[in-house]
Amino acid sequence: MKKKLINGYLSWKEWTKHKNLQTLIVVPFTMIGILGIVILAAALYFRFSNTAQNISEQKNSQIVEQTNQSLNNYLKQMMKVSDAMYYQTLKQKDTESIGVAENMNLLYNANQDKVVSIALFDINGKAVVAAPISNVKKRVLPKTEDWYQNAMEKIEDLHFSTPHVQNIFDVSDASYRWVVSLSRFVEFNRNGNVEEGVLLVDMNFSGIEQVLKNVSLGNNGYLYLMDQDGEIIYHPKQELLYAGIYEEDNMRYIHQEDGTFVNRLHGKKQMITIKTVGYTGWKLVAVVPMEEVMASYSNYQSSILIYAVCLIFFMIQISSYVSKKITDPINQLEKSVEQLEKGNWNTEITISGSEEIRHLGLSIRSMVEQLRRLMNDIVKEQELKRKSELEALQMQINPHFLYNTLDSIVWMIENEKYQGAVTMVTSLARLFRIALSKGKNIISVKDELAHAEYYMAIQNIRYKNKFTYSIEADDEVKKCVTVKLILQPMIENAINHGMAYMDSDDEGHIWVRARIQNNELWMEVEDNGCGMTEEKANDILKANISVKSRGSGVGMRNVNERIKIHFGRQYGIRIISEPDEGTLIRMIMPVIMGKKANQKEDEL
Amino acid sequence: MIKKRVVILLVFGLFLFYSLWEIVSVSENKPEERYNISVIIRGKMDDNWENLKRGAERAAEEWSVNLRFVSAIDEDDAQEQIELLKQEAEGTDAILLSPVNHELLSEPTLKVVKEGVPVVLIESGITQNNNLPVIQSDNEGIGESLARTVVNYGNQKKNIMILNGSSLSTSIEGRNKGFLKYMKKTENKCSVKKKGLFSVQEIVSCLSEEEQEVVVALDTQVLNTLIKAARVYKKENPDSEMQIYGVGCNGEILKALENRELVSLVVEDDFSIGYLGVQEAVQAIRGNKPESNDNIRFIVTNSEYMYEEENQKLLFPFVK
Repeated sequence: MKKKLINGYLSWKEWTKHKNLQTLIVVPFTMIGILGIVILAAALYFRFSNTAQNISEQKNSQIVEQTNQSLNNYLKQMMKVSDAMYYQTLKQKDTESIGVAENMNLLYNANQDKVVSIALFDINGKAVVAAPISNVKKRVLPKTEDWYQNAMEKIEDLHFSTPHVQNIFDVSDASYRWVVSLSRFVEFNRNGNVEEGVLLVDMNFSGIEQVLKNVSLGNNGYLYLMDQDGEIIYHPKQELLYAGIYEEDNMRYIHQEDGTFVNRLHGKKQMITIKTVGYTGWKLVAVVPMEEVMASYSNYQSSILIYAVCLIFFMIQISSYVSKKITDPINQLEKSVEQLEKGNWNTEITISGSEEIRHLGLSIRSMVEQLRRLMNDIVKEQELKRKSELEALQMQINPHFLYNTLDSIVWMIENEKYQGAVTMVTSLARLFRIALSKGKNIISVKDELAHAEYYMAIQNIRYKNKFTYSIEADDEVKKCVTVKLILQPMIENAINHGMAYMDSDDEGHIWVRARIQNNELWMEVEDNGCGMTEEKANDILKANISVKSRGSGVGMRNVNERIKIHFGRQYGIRIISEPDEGTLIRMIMPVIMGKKANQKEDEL
Repeated sequence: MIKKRVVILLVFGLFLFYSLWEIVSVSENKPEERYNISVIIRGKMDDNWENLKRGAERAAEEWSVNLRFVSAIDEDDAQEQIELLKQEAEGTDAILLSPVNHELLSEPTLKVVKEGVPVVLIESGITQNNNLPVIQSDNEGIGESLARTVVNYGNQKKNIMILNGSSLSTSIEGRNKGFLKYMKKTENKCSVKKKGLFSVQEIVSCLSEEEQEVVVALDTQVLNTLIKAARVYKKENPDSEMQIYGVGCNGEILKALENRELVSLVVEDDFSIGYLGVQEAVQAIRGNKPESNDNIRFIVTNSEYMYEEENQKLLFPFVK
């Protein structure tokens, strides 16, 4: 049992793991509700049943009691006939006198409807006197009859027989009568002598039948009478009992005390009420099928059943509604969290349901807001950090370039080439002024082109006019703005990787262009150097940004990143190169006119 | 979702309405259905059929049946009984039939059943039974029991005359068969007289022609006539020691038994035959399968034991 309970608990626990919240609320709530309703209905049903049974018991007892009274009265009347005959005639008169026969006839006539015959038999069983006057059958021996023997055995009592056909008297027709014999031992006077004998009063069976047949115990209830040995005296289906077609449970009640109880006969329950008839020891047995006892209450039972079904139905509906009310907001909240899990940070957190769930929703919403803010902060921080790194890289160029330029100036002064030194110093000063640009990152295309020109002028002196250069730009383009110092790294690359490896016979040239194409600002640096393969050109921008070795394209990637950071991911550098033909570096940016430059700078 | 809820509520509403309607209809008292059953007996409706009639009436009371007893004018006229059968089949719910001739009544009876009127055979069967329910005693057993009683009374090498009434009744055929079967084991000489309806004079003639020591009647009607004939015969032949045995029961026969004009008597439970016949007919009307019963009890008694408790219950049916 304990094992079963444990197994049941474990199964329940396992089951709950795989069910949603609504099921977990509805199922136990409904089960407990149904259990409660069933218990209530059962309690009501049994209460009604008990009430019905009690009422029926009382009613049956009353009917049986009344019938007992009537039967007692009837039997007392018969006993009075016997007493009258014995004490008022036989005890006082000689049977040989005319008076005895006359009195017997008078008594018979007075009770003719109830009495079939009155007769006195002597000790030898011979009829002494009888009414109505008739002969005893020749071959009949009254001494052998039960009624005679009982009277002689228990001389102090009156004896009632079971119903039988009276056969001792000759009757003119072939008719026969069922009687109940009342016999008693008597002492009578004959010819002056006191003799012993038996006084017989044959009661018409219909007399008993009259008392019992009209007893009403419902449509199928009935009442029967049996003697102390269980022999049926009266039964509404007596002829069927005698024919063996019908069976009665009478032998079971021989030793049963008076009262009411339930018996089962042929699988059907019966309410049995037993009452012993005073003097005779007979028993009145009332039988009422339990179906009939309960029949009048079947409507109540049906009503209870319907109410129970209604309650169960409404309870299921209510529990379903309540659980839905509870779980729907939770489900919605869960869906929102699922969306968040998928990275959809713009999901709206639904706030509904009970106070607790609303509070939970608000907490999640607040938490998401905080997370969103934190993530933005992190992104911004990362961007700033990257920008700082890029700018730091940008700044790294300057000391190297400055060193080489100053070294060249020193060399020119030592060699008294003062004009060249002046040019270089002047260019360097202007270059630095543009590079500083009051700390701005966005400058005009005009300044950027000027910066490139100064740079190329310095490098041209340094490289002893090893290359030529040209700058092409419309005045309109020059009004646009650009990220500063993006041309210089490209020019440096063109000089270092394009011009440096050219044969001394070849004339290197660097083209710097700025134009508006397809509503975009294109700034290009082109050389006619040794160029590179398309594969290598593609790899330059893909390479890891953290690789900072010289010649690995780090300057180009820095410029690319800076353009993207300032103007968006769709902008940046395109490399067009052919081996031995040259390289074109195109920096694509949005067209932003000078007036908006300051605004853009502020946004960034 | 709303549609689903509406459907659930609708179904529930219908259930509630039906349940309440059932409760109301149950509480109303339905009128009791009464059936009409015709009882076609063999021979005339006299006191020979009294006990069977009482049994049928008792069952009719219990099963709410209107009973209609029909009998032929001529005792042994099969054709008349066939006509009665056809006539009754038209206006009744079921028929209880005691066929006068098991051969001639076979086909008409089966035809009536085919037409949808249930027939329960009582007291005697038909040749082509075709599973029709039959309520009867073990007639061969009755014959054997009677023969045994005759022999037990010391009749070992006697001339025994058997009077058969309607010899074409299976019940009498069975009794005759059982009687002769038992007698074959003895040295008694049996002669069988067959006739639909014997008169007193005819029986007296038979008794006078051949000196019969034992006469047996296998039918109530014949036994009744035999008793009367025997009285006439014994008046003419006071020294005759002829013994009479028989099968059947009515007031006259019982009186003769008590007066020892009859040595012994076999009585079958006609009350039960009548009762069970009607009961099975009702079952058939209700569409249930009626059951045959060919073992209705019978007793063998004489004047000494006829008032024994169990015997008197059968010989003197309890009637209220």
